[in-house]
Amino acid sequence: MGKYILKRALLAVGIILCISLITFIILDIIPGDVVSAMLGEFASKDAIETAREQLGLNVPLPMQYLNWLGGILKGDFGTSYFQHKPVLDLIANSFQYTLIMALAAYVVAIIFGLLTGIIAAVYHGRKIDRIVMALSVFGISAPSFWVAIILQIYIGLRLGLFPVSGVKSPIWWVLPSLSLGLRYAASISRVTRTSMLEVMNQDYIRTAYAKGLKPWRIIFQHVFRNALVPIVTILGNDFGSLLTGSMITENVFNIPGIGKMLIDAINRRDIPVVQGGVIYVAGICVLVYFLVDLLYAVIDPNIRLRKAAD
Amino acid sequence: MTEALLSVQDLQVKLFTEKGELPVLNHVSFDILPGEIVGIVGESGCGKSMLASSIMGLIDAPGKIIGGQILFEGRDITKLKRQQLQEIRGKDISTVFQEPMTSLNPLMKCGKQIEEAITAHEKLEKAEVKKRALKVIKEVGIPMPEKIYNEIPSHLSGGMRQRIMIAMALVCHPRLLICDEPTTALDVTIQAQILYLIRKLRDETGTSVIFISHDMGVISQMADRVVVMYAGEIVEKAEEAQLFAHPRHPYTIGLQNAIPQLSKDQERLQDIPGSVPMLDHLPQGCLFSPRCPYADDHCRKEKPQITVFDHQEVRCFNAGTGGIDHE
Amino acid sequence: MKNKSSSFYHESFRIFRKNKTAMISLAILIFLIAVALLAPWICRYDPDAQVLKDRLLFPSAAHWFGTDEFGRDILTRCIYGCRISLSVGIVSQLIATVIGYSMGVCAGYFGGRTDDVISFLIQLFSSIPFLLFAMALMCALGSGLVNLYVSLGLLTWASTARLIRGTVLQIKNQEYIQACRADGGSSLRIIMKHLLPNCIPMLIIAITLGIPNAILSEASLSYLGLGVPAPTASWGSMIAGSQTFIRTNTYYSLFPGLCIIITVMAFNMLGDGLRDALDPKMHSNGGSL
Repeated sequence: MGKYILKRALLAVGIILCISLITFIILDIIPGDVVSAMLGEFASKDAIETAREQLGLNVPLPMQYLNWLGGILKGDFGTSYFQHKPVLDLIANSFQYTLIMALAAYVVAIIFGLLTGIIAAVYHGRKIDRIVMALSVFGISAPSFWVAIILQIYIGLRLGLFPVSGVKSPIWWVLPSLSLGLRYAASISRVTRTSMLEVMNQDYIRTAYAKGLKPWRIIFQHVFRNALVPIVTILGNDFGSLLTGSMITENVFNIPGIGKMLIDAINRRDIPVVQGGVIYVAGICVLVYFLVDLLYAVIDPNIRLRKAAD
Repeated sequence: MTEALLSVQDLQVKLFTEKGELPVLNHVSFDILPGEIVGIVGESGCGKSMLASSIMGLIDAPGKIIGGQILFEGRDITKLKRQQLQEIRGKDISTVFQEPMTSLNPLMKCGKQIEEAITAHEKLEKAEVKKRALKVIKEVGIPMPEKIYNEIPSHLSGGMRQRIMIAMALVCHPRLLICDEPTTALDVTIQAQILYLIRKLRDETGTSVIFISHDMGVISQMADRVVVMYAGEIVEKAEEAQLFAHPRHPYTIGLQNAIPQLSKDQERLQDIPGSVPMLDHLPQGCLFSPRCPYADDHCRKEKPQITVFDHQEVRCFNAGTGGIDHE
Repeated sequence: MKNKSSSFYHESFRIFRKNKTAMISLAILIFLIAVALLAPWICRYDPDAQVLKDRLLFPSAAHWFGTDEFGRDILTRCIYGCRISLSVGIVSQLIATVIGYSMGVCAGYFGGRTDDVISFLIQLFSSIPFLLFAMALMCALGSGLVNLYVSLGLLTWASTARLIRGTVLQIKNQEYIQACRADGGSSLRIIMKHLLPNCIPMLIIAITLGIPNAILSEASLSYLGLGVPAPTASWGSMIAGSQTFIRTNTYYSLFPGLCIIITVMAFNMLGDGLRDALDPKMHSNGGSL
């Protein structure tokens, strides 16, 4: 089992490295010279040269990558071209906003998603099931920026209850979290419903009824418990995805989180920030997959056995 | 005359599908006395499992009980509400299902699954509940009850799982145990052990048993009385010894002949030609007539009713006329 | 598992036909595709022509969806946006499926080192933060339809590959495949003639459920200005443009949004219906092929 964990950890590191390498290459292809953009049209050739020298851009690309990698291993994520602050600081500052939104959205998503999914499965075929299914398809089909805008118009502006932009107000997080949360709730609902329905068709559920157990006990102790694996998968992925910041939602609501940081950096060709951001995002994703994987082994001992045998 | 423990009277069950109303059980009637093992035999699709489900109250859409009654200790359980049925299931009437591999929750420890059956019906201290669970695991012949108590079903063999199912079914001392093809999915050697176990438990506790199977050989080992079913109807009913010595219905004769016997000099296995009719294409007249070697025009036009010959009930026009040669 | 016979698809079609939601979705999609294809003939206006005297008109008989800040007819632009979205959805997913199938089949069939490498690639591409990289790629390659096809295709092949690999692993050891190999069948022939037919139901479902995500991605990218270049009409960029006029001309944000929702919902429900219809467990003939 320990060997398995080690193998997965190495895999995770390998993936993060590959991702950072790919990012490097992609960013290099982006047209336009960063330095000229930074210094403006009228910068002299010398000034540009000096700047390039300072930023370490005069060495060949592979060298640049290795330099950057060396920095990372020492904990130095580089400095933003535009904000002249260490990338790590920028990430840390943005992270707090993303974290608050992530937690609030996650709570909304879990409560609405799990509840509606369970209810739809239990009352399968009836009206409430159809309503939940329709709402959840709608939820996964509506573009996030559009939902955000609609919430802004109808709840933020017309009702005037919640702020629609920025983080000044203490309840700045309400609308963005709602916007994000409902969307995730929709997909959680679908997965929960499908997974539970599949379990409900199993023979051992019939046995549970034959034993004379109360229906709600059957639903939770037998159906839901055995339906967990796919549900945990999506809950894990969603948490990872929330932590990496929703770029669109943060953009619409003007929240200075990780997502907005990345969008701005890409638009401005602020390469160190993009690089650092990608490492953070990839790292979170990989960590989450890893943790979810371990969680499987806890939930379903059969998986534990299969993995140990591999 | 002893009072019947279970009395199925004129039970009618239909399946409501897009192809129309399909009759799954048609005017089925039989009684079970306390302490006896009644074997229900027939090919797949004859309605045996539906019968078991009806008695347990587990018939769900698209099936529905549309007529008749099932009297358990005098009470008609077809008229009971869900709550009342819940109290009976697992406590007064229990079932052991066919597939031990899939009929147990793969993620829950065996001990806990048995304890659930207890706590659903009785209020006991936790320690007491565990004690009873361990006791019943021992009674079904499982060595090292403590160890098995903590295992999940996927760690156990088919035979062990079926023993756990039996333990779960018997832990509340039900008066009636329904065994729906309990040994069909098991190896022959394990089969013998399980059959022995069921008989032993009946002898020790006096539980009545409905034993469902398609295997005449198994039925002859287990049953005191036998009910033969075909396409949703009872075609013959008799004491086991009588049925096997003098089968009267052509279908029963066919089933008996199909049992391979070492004593006979057989070149080929005998089977009954044709197959069970589809529920949406039931023949006019006697349901068995298309496959019956003795069928005549009368059989094909009219439906036979039950006639009684010397404590043996048969649904056949030609049964008592001596015109049927069995052997 | 023999190759899927026509009775399997027959049965699938029968089940699909009974699913009202799926049939309605199919009808909607056929309608949308027709509208998209016939756009040049059915639209009264030019989607890109600016008619400044008709700026920001509310919906009327002349302009069913109203006009935008450049006087362009919103209905026409929605229809042309439909062309963009549908083409991005379909083409990018075709690319993703071809890549995904090839990778999955090679990994499953050849096993060994090939499987190790491809499995790593699948893991890698599954871990890539999708929108982030889509943005980065579009930045690097520049706005444009073909770039969108390629970027989205390159980033979404992994889930198909994983599914196909699993399927191939399962059926690889079926006896009749072994028989083909023993008979001297070339690998390519086995892959195309025997493995592919068994994977088709899965591929159909994968494409149908991948398209709505691709459409949403295109909308998001265009919203951020990284999709199709202005002035080409795209639902996403229209919504971006509408933001300035949110309070006064709400219809401007509403219509393109509804277009996206209807199209994506239709594909999702179609995909769900296909998934049920093609599931062998749901077939009344026991799923036998």
